[in-house]
Amino acid sequence: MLLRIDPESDAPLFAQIADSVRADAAAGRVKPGERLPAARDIAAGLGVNVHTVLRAYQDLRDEGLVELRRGRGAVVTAQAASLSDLHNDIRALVARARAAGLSADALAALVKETARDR
Amino acid sequence: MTASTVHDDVRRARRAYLMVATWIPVAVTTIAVLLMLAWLPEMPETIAIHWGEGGQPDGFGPAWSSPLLAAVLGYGLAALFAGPAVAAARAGEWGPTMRFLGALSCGISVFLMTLVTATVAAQRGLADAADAPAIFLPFALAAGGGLVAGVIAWFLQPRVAASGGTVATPVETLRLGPGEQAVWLRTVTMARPAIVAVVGVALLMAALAVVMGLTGSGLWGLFAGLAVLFAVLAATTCVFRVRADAAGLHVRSIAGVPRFAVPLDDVVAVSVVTVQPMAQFGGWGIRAGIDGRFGLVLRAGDAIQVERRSGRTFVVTVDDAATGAAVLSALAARRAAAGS
Repeated sequence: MLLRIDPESDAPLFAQIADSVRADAAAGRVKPGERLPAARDIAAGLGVNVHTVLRAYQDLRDEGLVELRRGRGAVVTAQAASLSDLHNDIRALVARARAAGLSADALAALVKETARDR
Repeated sequence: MTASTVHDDVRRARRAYLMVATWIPVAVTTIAVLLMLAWLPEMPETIAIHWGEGGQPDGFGPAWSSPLLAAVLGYGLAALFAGPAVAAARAGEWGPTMRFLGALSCGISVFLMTLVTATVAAQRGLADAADAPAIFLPFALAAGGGLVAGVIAWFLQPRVAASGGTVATPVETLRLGPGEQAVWLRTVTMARPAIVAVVGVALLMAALAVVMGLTGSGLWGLFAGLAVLFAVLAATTCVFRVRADAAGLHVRSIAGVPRFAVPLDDVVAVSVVTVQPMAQFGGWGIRAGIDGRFGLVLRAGDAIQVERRSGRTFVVTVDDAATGAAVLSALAARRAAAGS
């Protein structure tokens, strides 16, 4: 599992970590039933507070992407499979948006607006 | 170095190996057997063939059983040790591990043949096997001879290291922003057959210890110890956590130990290789490669290979090795660029 954060960016670190996990799930690199690494290890690797990682895990649990189980840690749910089904659609959309000269932020904002409209 | 000269080197090394590991032991065995057969007329019909507490004889058998045992052991081991050489050379692999194996074979053969022959020689002209002398002198002779033979056998072999057909693919580096941090984490588990083997041996040792204990044999402690050893091996070498981050590459057993680390400053080159455990490392687990690489070889397939500043190479088999290698490579390159 690959996790990347940019401390310079405006987005809070816990959100960036959650984004990384979600991206891995969407790309099929993390499968349903898999355990996420221990928060301690991620925190040490990224040089952030362990509570930042735990906050990311809690957000992912609220989203339904992971389950937090005593003794087992964070386990990926079946939602990861739905995410990876979307993955190809997302890549196609990104490619078309890029061809149309749309920035990643603008595309993200558009998707958010459309999703909120439902 | 062209492919054909490496090929020739491997052939040369294999010839030397077969000489010390097979042909010399065959010759030594033949001499030992012939000597013992020549002495048969001078031996009592029953001789001492086992020594126990205090080094005194405690097991007896027919005189001809000793040359028979020597022949079976000597020729059998010589044939057994030939196998790895043929397999390794065919895969184009060679290195210090094979050289050591050759020396080991020679040393063991000389040790065993000297031991059996000396114990038989000590009983020439005896009327009664119970008068057989203690084991100490033959053992010392055999141990010394075996050690010397092993050392000579090491130096009789050339120093050759070849990695067979493995191609190390350099990685596509990740693009990292200047302040960006990245970490890559994976868990790798030993191949199921290898786990079964280790656990199976541990259980077997435990069962033998119980049987020995019940029949009152003094060896139960040895087998209990072996059972514990293999249980520890099973617990510590079956599952590892691999992590690539700004501190370098860390590999840690879920049991806590053992751990291996390559600090980022130590990283010279990162690549992805395909590992064949048997052909390149002689097995599974924490291994010294036939070509001198050090590896955590838990299964066949993709592995991250790191070349260190000291020249030594570290290999760890792990899924998605390409991404892990890319992260490590990008972090190392950024550190190197910042330092210069």
